[in-house]
Amino acid sequence: MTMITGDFPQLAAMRSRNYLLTPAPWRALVYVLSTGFVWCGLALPAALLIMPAATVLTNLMAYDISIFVLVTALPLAIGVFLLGMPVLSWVTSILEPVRLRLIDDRPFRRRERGRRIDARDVQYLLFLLLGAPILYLPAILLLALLFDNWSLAGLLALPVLLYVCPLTAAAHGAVTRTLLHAKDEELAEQLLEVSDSRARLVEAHETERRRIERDLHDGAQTQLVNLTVRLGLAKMDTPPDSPAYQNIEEAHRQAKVLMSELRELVQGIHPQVLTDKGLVAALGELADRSAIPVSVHSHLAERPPRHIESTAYFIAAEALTNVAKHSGASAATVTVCRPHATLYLEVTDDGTGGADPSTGTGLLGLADRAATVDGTMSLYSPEGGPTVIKVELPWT
Amino acid sequence: MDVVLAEDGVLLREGLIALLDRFDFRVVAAVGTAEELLIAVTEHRPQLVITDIRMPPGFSDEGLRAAVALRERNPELAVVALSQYVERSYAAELLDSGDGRRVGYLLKDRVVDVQEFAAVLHQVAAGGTVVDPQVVRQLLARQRDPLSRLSAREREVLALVAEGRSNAAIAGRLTISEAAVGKHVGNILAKLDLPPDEDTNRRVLAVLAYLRG
Repeated sequence: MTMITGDFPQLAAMRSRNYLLTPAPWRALVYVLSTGFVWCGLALPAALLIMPAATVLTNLMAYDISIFVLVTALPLAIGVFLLGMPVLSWVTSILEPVRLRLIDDRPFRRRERGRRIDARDVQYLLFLLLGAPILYLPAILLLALLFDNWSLAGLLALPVLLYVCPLTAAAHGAVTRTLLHAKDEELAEQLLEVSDSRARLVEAHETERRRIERDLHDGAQTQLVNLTVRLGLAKMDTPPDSPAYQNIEEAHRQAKVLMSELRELVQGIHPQVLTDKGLVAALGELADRSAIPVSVHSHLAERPPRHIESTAYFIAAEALTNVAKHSGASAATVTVCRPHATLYLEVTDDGTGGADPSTGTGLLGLADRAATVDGTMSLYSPEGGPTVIKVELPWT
Repeated sequence: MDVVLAEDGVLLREGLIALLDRFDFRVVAAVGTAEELLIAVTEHRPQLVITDIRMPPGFSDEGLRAAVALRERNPELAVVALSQYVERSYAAELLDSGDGRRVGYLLKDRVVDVQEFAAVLHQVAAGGTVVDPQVVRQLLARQRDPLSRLSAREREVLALVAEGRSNAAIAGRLTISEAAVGKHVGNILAKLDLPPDEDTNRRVLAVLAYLRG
């Protein structure tokens, strides 16, 4: 047990000189006393559960039983026991970690909620019912001495008790931790589930953006083009010296402005070229629209998963906007390739460098975007340039 | 002139029909999918096809696929493809179909300048090649060493050449003499190591082929 309890907080505290003046021994005492109450609370239902089976078995051994009772009562009695124990185990698996906080302030991860009760929970219940009384024997004896006769011997028992209780509590706590704390692989499983659900969220978000883009394109954009065509035709057929002409011309002009604004908006939500043609084509289009010359080098044989693709695209778009706005660069390069199970994206510019993530939200935003799909971003931007942004996104 | 129109947005289709009517094109069929387009062309044998690139069922490049297929079957058929965004590979595929004449690749938004759009349709139907100015601009924006040898004026002229404009039209646009345009064009072709040519369309194709790399 020393090996398991070696790093238990209670034991570390005991080495301190003012130990008895700290709350630790008193908390251990409360823990030990409360174990008594818990034990009593559990022993009664446990006894009730085991009683039918015990009765049947006793009678069986005395051959004082009919075949009829044997085939009906025995399975029933065993069934009650087998069904009842997991219920009690469930109670302890919830209650005991809470009580553990009295003596152990390290983080405790209960195994996943809503999971099934398993062998370890039942083992803990059996330890509590059968093993604990033995483990607690010294503490019980000392308590009995203390409460039985408030003599000198009884009073001398108190400081001893204050050292025995922590030891007892620490041993008990170690068992609780061993049996009820989630194991590493279970934690990994839970983390995996968290990242799975985040991936689903990103995917749902991505689908939603595409839907909005499609709706805008099929609805507002198409209607607006039609409206503008009609205004163009009306303008053509209106004599330039008529009072209506100027209004129609102005309306036509405004409709055209609105068209290009709406196109920009849709582009920002989810570019069509990305949906239709994929990342490489979309990066090419992005480069073409950039204020400074941008060359794109891509070595992708196939299209990445959609959420990776759009994450990479929006990071590149944001990075190129930063380059154009802040770097003073005259040219930039975008590289995408797939080393192993990773989509690698690099944006390099020949600007003045000195980009600092702490001065603006732009660069942090890029890192956040990468993080949503479990990717990473690194920035290399010494004073005087160049600036290099490297992004790695998992592509399995 | 008989036209088959393919556009999946019903409202916009109506608008385009109104536009085509106004400019005395005869819309013999207006359809909403690439498949219907192929059938309608077989049935009506139009001189000109105007098609949206992105159409059902996949909303990808069905219109373009149909246009390229139609051009393979009948290289004399004039086709104008409308695209929501600039995609160089679309323009390249169209220009590679047939002899590269009687094709147009335009951003959809161009249709709202109704007169210019009608002019483009006539130009293409008459055997011309028209590529959206924005495509040309993007092609020019790509860093290529020989292009940097061109002066600013020569770049301007080159962009207009690539849009399929004649020397006279370029002269009018830049308010310089036609002779000056001729000299610029000669210089450009020389600097890009292209053979001198007075035929506007061949010139356009040569320049576009060069820009596409």
